[in-house]
Amino acid sequence: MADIFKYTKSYGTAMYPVHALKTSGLLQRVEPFLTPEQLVSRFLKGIPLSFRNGDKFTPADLKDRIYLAQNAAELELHVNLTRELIQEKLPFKQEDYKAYIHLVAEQGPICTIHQLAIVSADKNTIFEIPPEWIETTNFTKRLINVIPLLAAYGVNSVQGAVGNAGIAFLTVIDGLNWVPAYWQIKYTSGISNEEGTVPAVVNEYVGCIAAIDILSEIAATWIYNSQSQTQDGISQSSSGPGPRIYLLRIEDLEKKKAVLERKLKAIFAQKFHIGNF
Amino acid sequence: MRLSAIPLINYQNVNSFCTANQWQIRALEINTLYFQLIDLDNSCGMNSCPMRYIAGVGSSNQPASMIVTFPSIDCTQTIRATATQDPNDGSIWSVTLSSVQRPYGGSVQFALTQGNNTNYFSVLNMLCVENPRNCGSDGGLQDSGTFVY
Repeated sequence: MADIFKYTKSYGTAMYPVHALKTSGLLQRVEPFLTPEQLVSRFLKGIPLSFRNGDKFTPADLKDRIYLAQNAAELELHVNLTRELIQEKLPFKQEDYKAYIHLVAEQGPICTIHQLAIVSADKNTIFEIPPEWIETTNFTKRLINVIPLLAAYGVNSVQGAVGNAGIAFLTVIDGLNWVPAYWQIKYTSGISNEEGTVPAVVNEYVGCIAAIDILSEIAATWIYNSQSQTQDGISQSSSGPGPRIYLLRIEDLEKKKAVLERKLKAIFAQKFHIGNF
Repeated sequence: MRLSAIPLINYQNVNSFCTANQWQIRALEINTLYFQLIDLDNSCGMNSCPMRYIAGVGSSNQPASMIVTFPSIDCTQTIRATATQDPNDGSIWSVTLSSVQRPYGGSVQFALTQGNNTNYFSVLNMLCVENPRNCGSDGGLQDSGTFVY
């Protein structure tokens, strides 16, 4: 069933590069989801994707591993890879209220917002914040602010509804420090405004996860470091790195993944530095 | 019966085509996408390859029709197209997207109706759409008065 919202508000810039109003096109920064062919060419080139018993990774298997890696990436980065519609309720906090209703959404980054309202437990909208007041610039970091300072300062026409029942909800903010599930927000969240595409660095991150899983599966089946043959007094032996050949690559990918994860979280989430000054 | 579909590329006729992991197309071009229906519960051979499924066999399965949906979070961007069954091989279907129909990459949903029964299934990561007019970023979303999801 389709939901029709009264308004859509976004900041109007790209999700990646963050806040880009226009890009030259000389450098591609977003691309379609990682394909099995790209996974091999970017991360697994030259590595035999087969097991000692003859099993091997088929393109369908690689596609399945990418799908798993995409889901793992969403969990680890705490972002939605595709744009999704979210509805949630956030608590009222006195200190956040004084800081221009400083709300941090559960999912991120935020692409568009469709509602910010005080909604009662029986799902009645008590008061709807006018969209004109909603500040959108920090949507990439999940941050929603309400700044009721408009260009036409002094014209304070509020399009939201304050019914009789709403009075009680609005007055609690004077006496209480914290009210659970007070603000209801409806918004879309996703790492790209263009559906079916993600930043190239996110594809790289997904590829690292998939490649690590694939290599660790293969490495686990290697049981020999060296082999020797002897016949009629003539012998030949050979030794190699064994599963270590895969482990080296896994270690490199783990390092790369950790760096990308740190950078992506810095872009799409808020970092808090706590110190003793 | 669990139906699924395999993307076909380089399609010439029912005896000349290749199977693929996914369709790779360019947005805003006329694209004809071919696919073959398979029955995941009916495998043959040593490698457990699922058998093809021919829709519309038997009077109770007539008429047969297929709706292919290219989903989007934005209802106005969702594309629903009627697929055409190949007259020479009933397991092969095709759907044509015009240059103004812009699907988004990812999963594709199918609804096969045979007689009074409809089978629904979706294939993960079946479509990869390149945007040749992409300016290097994912662009911005504009505000609008109303929005439908």
